[in-house]
Amino acid sequence: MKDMKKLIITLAAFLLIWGGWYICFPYFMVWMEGSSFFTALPDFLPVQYELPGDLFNYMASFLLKFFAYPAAGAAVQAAVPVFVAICVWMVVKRLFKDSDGLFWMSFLAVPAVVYLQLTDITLVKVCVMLTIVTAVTLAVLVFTCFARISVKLPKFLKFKWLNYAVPALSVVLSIYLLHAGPLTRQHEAIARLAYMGEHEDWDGILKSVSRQDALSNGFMRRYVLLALSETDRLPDYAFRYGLSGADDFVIRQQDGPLAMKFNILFYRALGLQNPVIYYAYQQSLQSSPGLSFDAMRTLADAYIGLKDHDLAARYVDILDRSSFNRKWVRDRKEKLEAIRGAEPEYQMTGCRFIFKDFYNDITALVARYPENKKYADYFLCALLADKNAGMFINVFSQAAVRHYQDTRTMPALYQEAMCLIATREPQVLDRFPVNETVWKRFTDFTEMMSKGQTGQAKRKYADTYWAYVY
Amino acid sequence: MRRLMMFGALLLMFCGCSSKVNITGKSDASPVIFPDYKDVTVPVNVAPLNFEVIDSLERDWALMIETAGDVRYMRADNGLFAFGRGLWKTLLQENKGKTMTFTLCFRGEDGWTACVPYEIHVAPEEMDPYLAYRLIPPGYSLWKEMGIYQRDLTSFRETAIYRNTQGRGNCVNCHSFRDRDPEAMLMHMRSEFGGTYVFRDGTREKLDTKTDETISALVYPYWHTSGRYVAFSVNRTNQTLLVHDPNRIEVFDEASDVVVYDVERHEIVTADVLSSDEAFETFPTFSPDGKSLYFCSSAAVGPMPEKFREAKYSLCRVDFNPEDCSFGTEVDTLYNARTGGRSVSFPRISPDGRFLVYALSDYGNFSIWHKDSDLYSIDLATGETSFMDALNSNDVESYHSWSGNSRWLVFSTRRDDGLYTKPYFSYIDGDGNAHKPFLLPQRDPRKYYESQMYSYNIPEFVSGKVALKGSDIAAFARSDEAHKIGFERK
Repeated sequence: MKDMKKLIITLAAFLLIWGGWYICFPYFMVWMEGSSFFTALPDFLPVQYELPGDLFNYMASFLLKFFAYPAAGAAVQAAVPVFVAICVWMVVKRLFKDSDGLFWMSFLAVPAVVYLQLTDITLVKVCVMLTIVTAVTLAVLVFTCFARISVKLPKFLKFKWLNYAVPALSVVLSIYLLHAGPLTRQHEAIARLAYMGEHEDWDGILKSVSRQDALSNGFMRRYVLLALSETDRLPDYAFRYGLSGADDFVIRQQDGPLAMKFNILFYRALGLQNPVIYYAYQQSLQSSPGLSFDAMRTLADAYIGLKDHDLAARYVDILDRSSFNRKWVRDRKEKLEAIRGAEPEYQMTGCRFIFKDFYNDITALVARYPENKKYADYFLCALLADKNAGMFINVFSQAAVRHYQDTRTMPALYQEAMCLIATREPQVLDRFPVNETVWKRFTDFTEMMSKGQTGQAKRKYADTYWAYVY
Repeated sequence: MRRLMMFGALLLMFCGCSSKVNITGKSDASPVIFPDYKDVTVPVNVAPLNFEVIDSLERDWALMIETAGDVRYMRADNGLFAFGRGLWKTLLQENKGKTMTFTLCFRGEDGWTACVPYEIHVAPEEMDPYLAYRLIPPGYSLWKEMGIYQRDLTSFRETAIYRNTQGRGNCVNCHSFRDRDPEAMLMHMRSEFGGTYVFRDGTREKLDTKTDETISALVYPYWHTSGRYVAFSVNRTNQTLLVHDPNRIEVFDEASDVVVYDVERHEIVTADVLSSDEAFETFPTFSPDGKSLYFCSSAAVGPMPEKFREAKYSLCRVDFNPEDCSFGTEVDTLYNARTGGRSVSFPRISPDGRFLVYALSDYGNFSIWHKDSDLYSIDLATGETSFMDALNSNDVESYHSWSGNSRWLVFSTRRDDGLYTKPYFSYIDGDGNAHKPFLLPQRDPRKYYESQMYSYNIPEFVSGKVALKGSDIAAFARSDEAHKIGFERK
């Protein structure tokens, strides 16, 4: 087999695997970069890495910085199995007689390497593997310089078609693994939501998450509820996407980096920088080097938000020394200039809230900031989810003065809740009258229910508060 | 001749000196330098106080150093003044007990202009040559990498005593030395390999310090000068994040007591005055003569975290008899939180027994996160309390430790950026006056501290290098079972 053909096959394999990564995991690769941190600052290295033990962490962090751009990340990922194939080919060439017919052997390991990459998002194991492969290859090359080895293999192993079939099969299997392997499409989907959340593409989130996705996946449900809140549609559609309690707004039971990322976006949307900073540090600590680009960017933005120039500048300066954050740093430097000399806005007057649970927080927030409609809607929806009608009416009475003076145009869920409450306290509709259409729908719903058509009623009025309650 | 010139150039490089700078003008400018080493008092054995001129458009800087018998010059490298080791050592030795005058000069079109000079005072007393501390990210409830490190204060050399990556990433904390002795140290490990590790005079022990009678394993330690006892607190501690508060997180006790561990009998001893249900007792400290035990005590409050601001700790003292490890029954109150309205933490007495320095904050005992926390000093001879004006800033000042000769105090502060705790050193003269403190020197301080992602936690002076190796500690942690300890209430 001619060298040009081998080169073309190798290049084709690289391009196909590159395409596989680029198409399957563009957002997850960006997430991988965000979860890593690399700097060559000399004072940073001795504390962060204990060499040579942490050499592989260092190598992995170096490679991960390229993942800031999915195309570059895919190139790194595709280069790894191709590099291994080239090493294997060099070994085969040195060890076997008439090695031209054994070119296919170099592709045998490719699917295994891709599988390893899919299970190792920190790239540390990949770096260990690359080091071992390189060392073995070099050892063979050096050894065979002194001792000529020429092992003869049976002829059937040198069938010409094997040189085409095995690489093709290896690449197909690799792409199949990318599509259906251990790193699932769900990981990619959540990383994409995180990316959209970071860029405040709330409509994008609402378009990409179906009701079914939200009902079956806690991450997606929270992202879609956040997007609803940010687009002022939470009190219209919260129950369509499976809201079942205050804990559906924020992630409490998990401390993985994706959960931390969601909480950062959630509290940032609420304008609460302390929890943002808290979760950014937690997220950071879970990355391989104990620091992460994403957390550092979050911290810089949070401190800029708090007008704490010194701390914000610290993170911006560090990111300024990394390769792929230049544009981000340029934007932040302008913001930094704007807050230079400003008094940090840490000192809050009035009550201080204890971060205990979301119910506790939102209660305190609504009491402290009654003019904030977002807080009020979160609180009211949480009360509806808890079926706490008494408290709902109390809170709504205060919120209505500021946010819903004409209750006939208020969000659907609140009107639906009023209808339900009116079955026990009819006078509530005198204070908060509802839209005629809503009342007609409610009458229809109750009639269907009284006729025993529960299933039909719940299907017909699937998005309503009534369907949630019954 | 050429050889002679080359030799001269090499000598200048070694010394860190430059040729004379011809000053043609004077300016009222006082350039900002980092670290702020202007008018500080330093020990004769400290590492070079390298610094950088910051926030200045001038690029070309020189420094004129005037001492009793000489004038020296040096040039900055991009604003950074890095002293040669030889030059710095000579400067300190020649000016022991004296003052050096530093004048920064910048080059303009008309030559060199001198700025307002400042002084560095060289105290005659040395400070202990090593500092041990924990480096941790200011990262709240989770952790990843941390370690206990030691720094040779006469140079820039930092080495790890133990990094948690040498074990299995477990939390390590509360390193403590017997009278600053590198041969006797203890520390705790949490979660995997959990226990209290005591290394003294070549022996090593791993202790399971939770007993049925105490509320937790041993926590905040302080060695008795005899080495026979270590006072500890036992604390049921919790943490909460404050959504709106400059202090951001609060660590508080739901219960705490003070106990004394007898290292020979492997037994902890306590008494009613140190462990009662009605009070939270914590942060024990022995007096240098070993006959008193100081501690902080607050009336027990709850429920937590709702009432954590109501926990205010008084500074108390009780007699201690090292002969039989017994306690007095009378408790003296040196600072009364009920009347004073604030809360004491980290009492530490100078080895000469003259001064007691403590941190005072608005509430609780987690002063390392309290921006209102400041250092106060009590003259134990007169009972007079003073605010340590020279040491305090608008941000946190909290943990501190004394050098063996009672002339140097190292304390942790967040004055530089409000988050990353750094150690500052202050000279305390014979009258107890604190002098302007200086930041732990680094080779390239601005670059180092700007990229440092860790806080310096529990800075402790040590009289020599800790010889323990992290790998040995890790191997010991893995191999040995923790020994249970006994309990006695007196």
